[in-house]
Amino acid sequence: MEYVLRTFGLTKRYKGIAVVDSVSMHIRRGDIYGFVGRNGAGKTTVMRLICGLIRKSGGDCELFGKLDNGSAVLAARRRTGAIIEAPSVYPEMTAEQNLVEQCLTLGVGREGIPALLEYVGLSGVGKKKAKNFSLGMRQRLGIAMALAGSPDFLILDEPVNGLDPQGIAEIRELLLRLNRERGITILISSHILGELSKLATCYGFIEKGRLLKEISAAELEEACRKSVRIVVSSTEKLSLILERGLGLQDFKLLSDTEAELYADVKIGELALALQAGGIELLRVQEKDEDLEGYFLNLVGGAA
Amino acid sequence: MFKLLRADGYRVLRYKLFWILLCCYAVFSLILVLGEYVSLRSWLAYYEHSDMTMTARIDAFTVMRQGFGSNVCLLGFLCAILVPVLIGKEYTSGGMRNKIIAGGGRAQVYLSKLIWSCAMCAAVYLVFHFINFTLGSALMGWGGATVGEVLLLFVTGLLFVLAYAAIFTAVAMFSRGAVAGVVVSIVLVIAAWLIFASIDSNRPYDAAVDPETGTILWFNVEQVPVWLQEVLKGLLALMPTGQYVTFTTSALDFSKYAGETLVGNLGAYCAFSALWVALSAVGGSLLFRRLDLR
Repeated sequence: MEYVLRTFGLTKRYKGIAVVDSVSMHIRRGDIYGFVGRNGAGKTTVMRLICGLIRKSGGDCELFGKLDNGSAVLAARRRTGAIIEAPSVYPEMTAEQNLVEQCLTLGVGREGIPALLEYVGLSGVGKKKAKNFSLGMRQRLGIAMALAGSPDFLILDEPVNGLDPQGIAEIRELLLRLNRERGITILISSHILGELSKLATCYGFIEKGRLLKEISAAELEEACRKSVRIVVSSTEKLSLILERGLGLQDFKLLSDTEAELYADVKIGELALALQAGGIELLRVQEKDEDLEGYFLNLVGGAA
Repeated sequence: MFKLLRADGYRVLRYKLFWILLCCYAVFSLILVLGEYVSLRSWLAYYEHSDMTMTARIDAFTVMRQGFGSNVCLLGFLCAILVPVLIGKEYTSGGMRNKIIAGGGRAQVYLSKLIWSCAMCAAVYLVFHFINFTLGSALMGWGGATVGEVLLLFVTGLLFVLAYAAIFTAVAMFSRGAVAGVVVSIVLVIAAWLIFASIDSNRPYDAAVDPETGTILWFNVEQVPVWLQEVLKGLLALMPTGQYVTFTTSALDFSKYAGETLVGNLGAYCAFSALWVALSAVGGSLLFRRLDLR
């Protein structure tokens, strides 16, 4: 399994306070990693650490197999494009001039600029200076700048902030296309969880500088499945009762006293069936979570 | 490094403020040269109708020396604006961040900025000399100044400008904003000018030498102790503006009182200026590696 990025106990302290606290994250090649956290959780700081913009207080970061302690990481960073907080564009230059400057910085040819502008939907801007761009146009230009060096890894810090719904949808489609067509691995942070859930193939949840959990989209979907959790006196004969008495196949025994039922079940029928089988029904809890609910439960537990 | 130089060069060539100030300085230099020529013609006409011999020296070499003296602060101010605005805008637009993310090493990013800052400031300096060397020498000649004298003064002034560029690069790279960089840089220029202005207005004509130490006094010892005067001399010698002002007529006349040059010869000034450039290049780039870019 090839990892584009791994961090090992990455830490950043300001005046003794850990704003990033022993973060160990793993991003595989081809993933769209959704980095989820509240405002001030440490998402942007982690991204700055990865990009080398700020110095770490502890831990390590490995980018394309290169540790950030040596000069070899500079070559690895050239395979990375990023937008941190806001797109980095020179306001006094046009879109094309900004891309020329970026190509010169990266040491790549300029011949791909017209195609790149068309790819992000900025082919018609002509001589318009970047300072006169709308927010959506600036975001697109920022993405174009990040793509100028044909990166293998994109780091995007809240790229849809401030965009209207159409803009958000367009950026989303663009990112999906980049991942699908060019195989670019993407690390994207956002607190708009609904949007992230349409993009990400895996997630990392961060709160108060600590990475609470990493989970794949499939595992998250499994965790968020609509279900009924029951607490009973004993689960010894529960499977028999559920399968033969109620015809339920889709359930999971969690412990000696807990089980989770994924099929639609009438609570009244369940209670009668359990009573007939000599099992006492102690508690019933319905669960129907989305990403937001999962995150809030996770954070609430961490707090 | 070469990639960064090309990228920064691309920006510098599109830096409107640089071209505007370059043109303004060219016009100023033209006015200075033509003004000296008109003055020369007036004096020559005056002495033609009198019995006296003209002793005042007015030629391209005099203009060259004035280029260091009368417009010393102007050159300092221009550099103090050019460099911090260019670098400050790089910070505010996120360009600095971009270069680090793109794999540009910290030291290389700093050195690229330093090189282009030096190039811009040197261009402003050279435009004056281009006009003097062409128009000034054609109109007024060099008055017998030797090639060595001209070259020494030219190189000293160039190193002075490079020292300014180096100092303001460091100021701009660590202040991380155009406004802060410009303000700090201009304050440094004004501070040096004010020190000299104080010295110039407080010179004790009749007690120019300290009887105990034999040191040239800039102020009355009752007002400013000798040790403080030495400190001020040292500060003036270290700062590019201070080095410039010692080329002015009043400073050179002053030094004649005790037969001692103010702080050394032009070679010493070259060394000081080179030291500033080296300090910025080595120290600045080392410190920049430790700076958090937010």
